Amino acid sequence: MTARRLLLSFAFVMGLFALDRATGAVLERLARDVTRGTDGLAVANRALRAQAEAFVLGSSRAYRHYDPAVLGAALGVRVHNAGAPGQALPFTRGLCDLILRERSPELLVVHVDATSLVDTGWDARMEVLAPFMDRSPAVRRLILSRSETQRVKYLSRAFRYNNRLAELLSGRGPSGSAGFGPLDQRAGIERLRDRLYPARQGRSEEQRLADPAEPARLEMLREMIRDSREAGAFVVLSTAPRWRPQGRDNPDERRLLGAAAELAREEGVPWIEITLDSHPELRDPDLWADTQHLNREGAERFSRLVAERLVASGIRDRLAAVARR
Amino acid sequence: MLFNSVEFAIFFVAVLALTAPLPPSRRWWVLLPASYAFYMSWNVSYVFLILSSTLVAWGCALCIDAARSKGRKRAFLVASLLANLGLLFTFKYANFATRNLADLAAALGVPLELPVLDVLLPVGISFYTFQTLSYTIDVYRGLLGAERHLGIFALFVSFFPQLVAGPIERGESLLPQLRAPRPFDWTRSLEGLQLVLWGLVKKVVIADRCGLHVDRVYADPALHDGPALVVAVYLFAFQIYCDFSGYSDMAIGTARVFGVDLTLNFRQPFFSRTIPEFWQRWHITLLTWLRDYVYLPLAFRSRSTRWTYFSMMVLMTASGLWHGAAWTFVLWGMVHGAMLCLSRMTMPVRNRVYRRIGMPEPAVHFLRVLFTFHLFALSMVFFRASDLADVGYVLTHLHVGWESPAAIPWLALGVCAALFGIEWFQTQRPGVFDRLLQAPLPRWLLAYAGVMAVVLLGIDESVQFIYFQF
Repeated sequence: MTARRLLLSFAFVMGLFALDRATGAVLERLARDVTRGTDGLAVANRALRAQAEAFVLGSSRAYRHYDPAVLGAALGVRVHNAGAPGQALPFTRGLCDLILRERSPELLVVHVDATSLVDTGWDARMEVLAPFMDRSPAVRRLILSRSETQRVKYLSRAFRYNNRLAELLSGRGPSGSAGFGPLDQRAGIERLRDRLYPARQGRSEEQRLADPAEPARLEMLREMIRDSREAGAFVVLSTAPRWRPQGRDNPDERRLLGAAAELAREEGVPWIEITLDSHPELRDPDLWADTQHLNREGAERFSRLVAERLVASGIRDRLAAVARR
Repeated sequence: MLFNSVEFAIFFVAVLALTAPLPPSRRWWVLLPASYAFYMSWNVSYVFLILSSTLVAWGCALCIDAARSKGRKRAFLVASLLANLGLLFTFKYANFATRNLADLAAALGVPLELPVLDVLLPVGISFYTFQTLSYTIDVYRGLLGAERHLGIFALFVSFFPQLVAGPIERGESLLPQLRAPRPFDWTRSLEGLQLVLWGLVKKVVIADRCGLHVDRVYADPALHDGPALVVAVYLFAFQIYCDFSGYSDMAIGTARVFGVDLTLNFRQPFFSRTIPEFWQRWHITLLTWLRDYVYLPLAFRSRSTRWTYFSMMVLMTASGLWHGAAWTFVLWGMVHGAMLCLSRMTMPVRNRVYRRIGMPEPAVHFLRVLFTFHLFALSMVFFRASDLADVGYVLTHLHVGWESPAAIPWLALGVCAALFGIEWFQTQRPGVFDRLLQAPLPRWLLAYAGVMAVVLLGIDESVQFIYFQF
């Protein structure tokens, strides 16, 4: 009787294993076609299929601010915006590795926020890249290192698609997009002020900005720069302004961005810092969709400023030299 | 260590492997240290609380048992009650009391500086305190002999499947089972594991998914209009039910694997026709506890109807206060007390109206269930809101902003509807699921479906059970 029960238990576990693999395989096929929307999986799939030589990486502030058309025209290369709304630096790190492995880019513009360097509680969202675990050691390492039990969870192939069914079903189909999702609305001064409410639960963004830059996050930036160099790609670190009621940059934000600028200097890569202090014309409330994002008009102006700085840093000439070779 | 974590799964398997070779009467050798380790996984220092609560209750019960005079028995009972309630008051209610005292003094123009205790609420303190209280009272009443074995009694207080969020067990039910648990039984273990899986589905697939919307809305209700608020009100009813009953299912299932039967805590409460019936189906062990040790001793003091209503109000206010030291919980309890009284007062009139209208019985049944569910869902605004201002905002803005409906969390509503369907089926065809689960193929298919639901639809964030905070 006991032997039969053990056999049945073994059969049950094997059945579960087979079901998990089969489900994982079906979902993997579905996931390959997800390219619509702003979900991280769609962003990654779009980037890995993009016909582009240059990529912009980062969060929603990359996605909404960097116009590939403006940057491409200035640099003479095709640019794809792979900014992912709702994502933090670990996602950028993972996607960077994937792009370097599968697209051989010539230029990566890595958008860095002050909040990229502190814990915003968004790191777990990078697990949206789990379908790419077998294609990128960096993605695998980032996902498995999140906790000691991650290895157990990811024994399941289907778990890579945990909570992704809606995106797998709704995000399929061609997107034809070069990334970039500018916002059309104009916030106006009242709305901007209204949105600056303090967090009622947990820590507000302003409180998080008071933290020191985390060494692990700076290390992620450093890894991206070094991996890109090894893959023969140029890297630029860049940042964008946030709307502030005083029209001045937040001192904590400046301190954190200073750490990123210092890292760029150490690694010898250009650092593009376009902020309210450096570009007072961006204080105009009509250029903002909300306190975090410029609107379409603001994004175009911002992109032109970035393009000017890229050209001034000699990137265009270097890309042209590469193209000639 | 949450039940919905990989750590707990590993812990559970390890404890099972260690207890399996032991004879049932020696199982406590492993279960007791395992239960303390489980408790210490939250906060090591709070182990002294549960230990002192255990020692006091155990010692006082022995003294009550040995005492010859009623006066001495009563003295030891009072000592035990004071010690255990004192701990509960200190950790759970002291800051609430001092804050309100200070506010009251300030309102009277007398500035009062009272110390604030900088302590975290020990997890599960309300549950194990009520368990030790009922034990001591039962020994005092002569309903139960005092447990002489300290190890078994310590396990009674700390038994890990039900330590942090119940069910609140009685000595007469749990102690004999801990002394001599049933031998390991394959069928019972399978039933237990099925219950654990079902509880896990309720927790991570339904409750935590509902929680995504509910938490966003209640974090700052003023940012949301009627549609989002209404959805949050409905979803919170499902969230709290699936969170708590899911935990209870997992607790009962885990205990069953170890040969111990815990008390049922929920019986499809959303199909209650009245609020009194609801409270016979929701958190059954708390309400029976409060009924036996608060309501009945109070209600039997007088036969007047007014006194009965007063006793009901005390019962439900105590229930509210048990849940948390905040006015929102007190008001929530009072609202339910008022609903109990109104239900009892209006029952004859309502029955007459239903008869006069001549509606078919199923339609009346349906309307009553629907009405009771809505009363419950609305009352839970008091339970969930951070403060009374938020309660006021939510209740007064449910009708606002319907011209531009917010994004609807369809998946959360879908899984709630699926649960509703399953429970409706269980009420209509009781025992069908049990019979279905006897056959290997349906059992396997349901188990596979449950595991895949957790893997694909579960929220993987180790969200704490709501009732752990009580």
